[in-house]
Amino acid sequence: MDKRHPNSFQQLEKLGEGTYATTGELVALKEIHLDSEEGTPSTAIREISLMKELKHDNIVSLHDVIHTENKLMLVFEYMDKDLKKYMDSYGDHSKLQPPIIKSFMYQLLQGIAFCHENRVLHRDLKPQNLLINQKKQLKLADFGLARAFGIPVNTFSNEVVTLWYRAPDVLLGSRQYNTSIDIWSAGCIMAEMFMGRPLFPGTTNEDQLVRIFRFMGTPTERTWPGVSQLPEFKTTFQSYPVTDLHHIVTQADPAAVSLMTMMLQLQPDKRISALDALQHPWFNEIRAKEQQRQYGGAPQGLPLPQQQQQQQPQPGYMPPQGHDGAAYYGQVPQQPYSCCRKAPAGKPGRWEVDGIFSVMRVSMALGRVESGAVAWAGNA
Amino acid sequence: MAEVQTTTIPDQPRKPNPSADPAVVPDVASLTLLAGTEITSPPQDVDPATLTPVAALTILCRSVQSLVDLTGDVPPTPPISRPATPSLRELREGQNPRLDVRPATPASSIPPDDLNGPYFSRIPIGSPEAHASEPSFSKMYAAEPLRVQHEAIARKFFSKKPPPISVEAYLLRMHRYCPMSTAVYLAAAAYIYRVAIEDRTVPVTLRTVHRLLLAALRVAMKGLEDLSYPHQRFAGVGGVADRELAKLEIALCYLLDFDVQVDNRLLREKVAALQKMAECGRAPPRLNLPPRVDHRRRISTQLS
Ligand SMILES: Nc1ncnc2c1ncn2[C@@H]1O[C@H](COP(=O)(O)OP(=O)(O)OP(=O)(O)O)[C@@H](O)[C@H]1O
Ligand SMILES: [Mg+2]
Repeated sequence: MDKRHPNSFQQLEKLGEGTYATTGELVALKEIHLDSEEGTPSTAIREISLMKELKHDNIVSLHDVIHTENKLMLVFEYMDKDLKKYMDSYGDHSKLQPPIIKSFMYQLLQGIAFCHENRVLHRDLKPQNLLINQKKQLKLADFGLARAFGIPVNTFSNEVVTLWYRAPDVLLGSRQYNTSIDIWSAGCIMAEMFMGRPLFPGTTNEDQLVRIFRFMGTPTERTWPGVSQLPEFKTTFQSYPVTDLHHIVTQADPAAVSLMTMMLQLQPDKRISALDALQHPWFNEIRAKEQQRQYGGAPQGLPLPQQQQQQQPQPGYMPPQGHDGAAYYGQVPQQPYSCCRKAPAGKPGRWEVDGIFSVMRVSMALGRVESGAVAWAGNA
Repeated sequence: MAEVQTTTIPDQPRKPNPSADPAVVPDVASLTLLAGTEITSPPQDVDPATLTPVAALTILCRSVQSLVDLTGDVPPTPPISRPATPSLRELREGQNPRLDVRPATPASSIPPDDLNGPYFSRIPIGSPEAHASEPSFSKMYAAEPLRVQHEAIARKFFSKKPPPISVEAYLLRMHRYCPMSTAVYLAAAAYIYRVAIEDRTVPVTLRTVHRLLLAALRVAMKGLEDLSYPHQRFAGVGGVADRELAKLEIALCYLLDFDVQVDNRLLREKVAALQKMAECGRAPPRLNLPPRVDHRRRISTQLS
């Protein structure tokens, strides 16, 4: 019984704020404090509801949500490191080797494409939110800022994406942004893997824009129709010419530079989509390998993102405009989520507090989510 | 060389906070609600993309009201415990302060730095949770645990007696002080459809409807919008204590299994199904929007 108590996840190592590894090294717990005067953070509601729909090899899986007295614990599959730490520990001055960059980018774009197909914007892609496991699989994490698009809501915030990875249209005050903001972030991350440092490490909104313009050129009505209508556009922006990215990301080969350039277009409509990016010639070898494996090749090399194709028919990619209802969230979760309250002090084994029973499904022995064990029944 | 470059990198920027964007705050005074307007019959095929928030609110109001009319008074499920467990005694004797059945704390007032909305008067909607000794229609002691858990959660939505405010007045009050979007109103309807009809975890009755609506609107707004109203404000307008809103909110999340995301197709389907259910009942009530009593500028309304 006690094995299933949340405390039985032994705290081994603190990973990041609110995240702990466990002895089994197979699940990671993210604790979210619940303030009884403030309620559940909307980031938690978003993260849980979105991640439980988005089942994909390149998106971290959410196994369970445990509700204790004053916190929610999200049980995630365990990943070794985030990409930032990975670069810092394995990179040469944090620079990664081109083959691994290619593999990570391919996986990143698969994860992004899956989100976008399912009408979800991640809105906070950065190395810290991309996780790598021992098999060198890369998975998107931290969906606290993510949101669904295409539904008639009132509020679309401009305060999204960590500054260094924030697209110029968002920096210029646009609230009409779409899937292309995630692509901008991906382009920045790709450059960072080559360079070993962030491409645009700005300090303020304006500084960020200047850094972008200095490399990518200052936009004008001619290069980006409508740019002068954006709230933060200033006619006083210093005018910079466009620099070819290979002068900046000197480590990248021409094909990589070509893809990066397509992702780092100032004008959002010109940025390549995730699906198209996956077809870029830079990924030729990976796609060939993938095909080989699909036809019975050896299970070596890069992980395959096929899981979702077997589980459900995917709707075709829908462009983000409009409010039409594309099929999305097609997958009904297999298992219900559980709810757990801690046993009151002095009554070990009792799981009932405040009228909510626990039904936990996490077994540390197996190290993964299992079938429903009914904690209270044993005490009845 | 690389070292030199590295040292020039500034600190990691802070985490973005979508709700800190001042421009996402809807202007309360600009809500599309006009004195004395009546909405006639709601559209049969709801297209969320073109529906105005007021029309969505009407649909929510009508269908939920019809469900109330249809359901009648259903008593809550048994007290949430097995007989003879210590916690049941605690519950009955009110020893555990957290389980204590106490009158709802009066609504808190809006903090001064709050949205520039009109002040609201307090309207408590009665004490939470049914009385422990109340008779119930089902004996679920041996039922499957998830079901028992859901029933335990369901009790949180029962008031001791029907709150003294009609569904319509309650929703208009919510809309007036915390206007929400088409998606939020329709999603709230979809959530209620799920718990009341699909899962049958909480019946929609005069005793549950207010709390269900409040929780559904809250969860929909948090799940779908980049900005939700301050907790105190929402609780105050809804007539419950802050802590109770917090409990209702997480309770509904669990009842919904955290499936709170929607798209237009799902909204359309669920709302159509709910309306169909509702049609089986009595004639839908007309939604009379009350005159605005405050001194703010008059706003023209567009109703489609
Ligand atoms: N499943 C996981 N396995 C291993 N490490 C993880 C996992 N999830 C998160 N981490 C680590 O914890 C860090 C923070 O996690 P996450 O991004 O989900 O939370 P957050 O809301 O951004 O919290 P913070 O504000 O502390 O960054 C990540 O950058 C990563 O290093
Ligand atoms: Mg993070």
